[in-house]
Amino acid sequence: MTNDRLAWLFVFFALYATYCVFWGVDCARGRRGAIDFFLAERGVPSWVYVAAATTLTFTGWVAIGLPATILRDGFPGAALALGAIVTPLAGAAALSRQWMLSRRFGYVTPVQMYADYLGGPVIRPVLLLIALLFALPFLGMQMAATGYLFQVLSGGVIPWVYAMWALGALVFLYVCLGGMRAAAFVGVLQALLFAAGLVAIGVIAWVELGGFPSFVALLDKLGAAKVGDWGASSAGYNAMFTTPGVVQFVAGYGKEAPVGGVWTTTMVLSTVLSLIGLQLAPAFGVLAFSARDARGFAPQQVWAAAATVGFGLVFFAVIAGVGAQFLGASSAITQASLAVGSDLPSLGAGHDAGLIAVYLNSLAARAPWFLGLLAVAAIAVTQATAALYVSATGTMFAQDFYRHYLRPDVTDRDLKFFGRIGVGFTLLFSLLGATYAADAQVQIGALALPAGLQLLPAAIAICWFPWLTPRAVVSGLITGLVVVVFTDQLGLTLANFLEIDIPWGRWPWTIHSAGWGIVCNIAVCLLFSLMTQKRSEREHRMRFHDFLAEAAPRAPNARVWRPIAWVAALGWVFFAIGPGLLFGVDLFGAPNAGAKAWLFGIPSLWAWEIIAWVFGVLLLWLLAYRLGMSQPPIRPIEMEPEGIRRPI
Amino acid sequence: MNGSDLREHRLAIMTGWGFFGSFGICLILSGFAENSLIAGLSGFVVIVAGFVAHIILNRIYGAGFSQAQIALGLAAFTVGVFCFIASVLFGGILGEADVAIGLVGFSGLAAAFVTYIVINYGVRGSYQMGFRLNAEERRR
Repeated sequence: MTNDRLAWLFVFFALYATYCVFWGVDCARGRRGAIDFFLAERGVPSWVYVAAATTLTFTGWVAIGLPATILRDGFPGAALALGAIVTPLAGAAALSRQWMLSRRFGYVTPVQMYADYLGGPVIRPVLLLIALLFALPFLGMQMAATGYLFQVLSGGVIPWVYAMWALGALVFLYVCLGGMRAAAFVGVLQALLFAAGLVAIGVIAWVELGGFPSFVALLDKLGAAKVGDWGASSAGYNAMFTTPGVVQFVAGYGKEAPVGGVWTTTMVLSTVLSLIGLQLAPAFGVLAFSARDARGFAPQQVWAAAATVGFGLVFFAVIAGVGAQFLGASSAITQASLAVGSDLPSLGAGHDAGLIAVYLNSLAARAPWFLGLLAVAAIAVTQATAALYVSATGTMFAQDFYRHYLRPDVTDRDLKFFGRIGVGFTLLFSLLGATYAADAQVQIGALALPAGLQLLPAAIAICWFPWLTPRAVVSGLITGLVVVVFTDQLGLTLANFLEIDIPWGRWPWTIHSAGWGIVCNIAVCLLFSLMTQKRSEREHRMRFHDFLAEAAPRAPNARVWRPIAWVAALGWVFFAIGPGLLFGVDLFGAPNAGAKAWLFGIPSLWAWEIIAWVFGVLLLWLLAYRLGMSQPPIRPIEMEPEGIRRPI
Repeated sequence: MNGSDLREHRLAIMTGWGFFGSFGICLILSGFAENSLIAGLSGFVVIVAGFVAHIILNRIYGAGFSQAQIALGLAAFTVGVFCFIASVLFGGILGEADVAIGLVGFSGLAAAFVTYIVINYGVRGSYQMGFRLNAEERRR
């Protein structure tokens, strides 16, 4: 059996690797300049952008992490699936306009754009730091996860470190050869594999559970039983079916953990908001700048991310996560005789992250070919992220570090060479970190998404609000980053090392570090903007905003639609991922009342989340299409010479 | 088509077949392994979907099937049919459902190809094309 699974694993991996290398070589052909390597000559087709941006948005964290979270925490954790709406929401607000600015002023990286708009010496290193957070530890964590996946699926024959380095070498090969174009092109297949893999995991669970009616019958029993890791809520409901309140004023992990579960509505809100960091990350901006035109933004946000991936997450990831509890993954449920099988091993005590691997392992005897194919699908998701991040980081290394600080008169050829060096260093250090400093990497990598979110005021300032002053934005950004560090594990470890007693733990008051950071960031930003308005600086900023006012599309009847959109967006946030989530706990039937009492035949909280997803897609459609926020410019953009060929 | 369009077309075709082909073959193998008519035929349906996707992409990019694509497709089909016939005749391991999967599936693939030819060139055109190819071969 091991031989079979190994053989199929290698067959599919070899095919996948051949595909990647083919496109690496194909994209490297001809005498291509630096701008081709960095931004694919600003010519990534819309449909390729849609696929590549969707895989980059959802990454291995969602594909591998969300079902594991749902396994551990039940339906309250499933609310994170609504990140499929919130993440592109940020893109709708900023990406199209940033793309227009990059076309007009020739920016190659978002770092150049922000540095040009905000000015001053501080913003560039801060942005590079955020880019590195994504590129090194965040990437290293994901590469390590795929290494473990390979180890588990090969039956332990291939140690995870070897697998991780081999996968890293493949990414290096095709990105180093073909640059952003190769990363984006390979991203198309990776996107399809991601979508199919997500559905397939849900289908495996569905089949093992004996179909949907059988799954609902099991939920019925579980709802009445109060079995599970989190016990019962104060209302007497099984904690797997209910959120543990709006907020809990506890000191935080390491000092005082919340009661009845992690996912208070405040925690859901702040965690989902942290996913915005994925689309605001500088690396994502590089991908957006490489798009040939802006026609791909709206379909990517509405149909690919919100509708398709959202559908996969609210249905299939939930079935896979909750269903695993009945298939042997939860020892508490197995002991209570509620499990229908023992296809999966028990995944208690922090091993829940291996859920996808054990699902695939369950195919080893019956369909080793599917094991091979779906393993490659899981690997491809992470590789997509890795390829796009290392490509973008290599670009920023060459453009924003080497060219800006060391050699402003660098030639085109050297710039491309240093882009490749950047790609190599990024991969090398992330893999070294994953190999030798995994714990530190996890702590630092956990800051990537919250740190990315801190760019929200800067993105809003450059796209919409000239009133926000550069000094205020930069002060807010730095404040936000400091607050993120000291409300997350890394800050606590640092304080502990320095023997400073901080009276709170990780994520105090059940608010994610991203939430703490962005609240402080916005507060400082608004306060400083009030105090630092200068006419001369505003004129500089208006250069950008005047251009956007001319080029950006205006919706017909915008005066009518704009207030409607604001109300809809705020209402959606309140009810879907905010305090209103509490209404969903028993609005469509009490969790312990049984399936017959559930209005939609499924637990009330799950039904609420599905309805929230549907309204979320409509909201995104309203913003992206009806209000034109993600639509192409209304007139052709007169391009200034490429930023790469002139000092910025 | 310019160079950029050619590359895009190739990307779309390769990705389409990489996706539909791999899932189709896995489903067909599952159908044979578990004597499941539904799984096996689903696999052939997925392969036909890949073929249809190829035709649509060709139409979008204003291209046709290249000689290499035709050769590869026919060779893969022939090898598949040959393996199936050999398994039925000499393997002795295929059940009734497996034989049904192979017969219906390969016939479906052939039917899809013929349908494409007839829709694209018309009945007379298809016949004339075959006749022309045959004549060229004899001339050579």
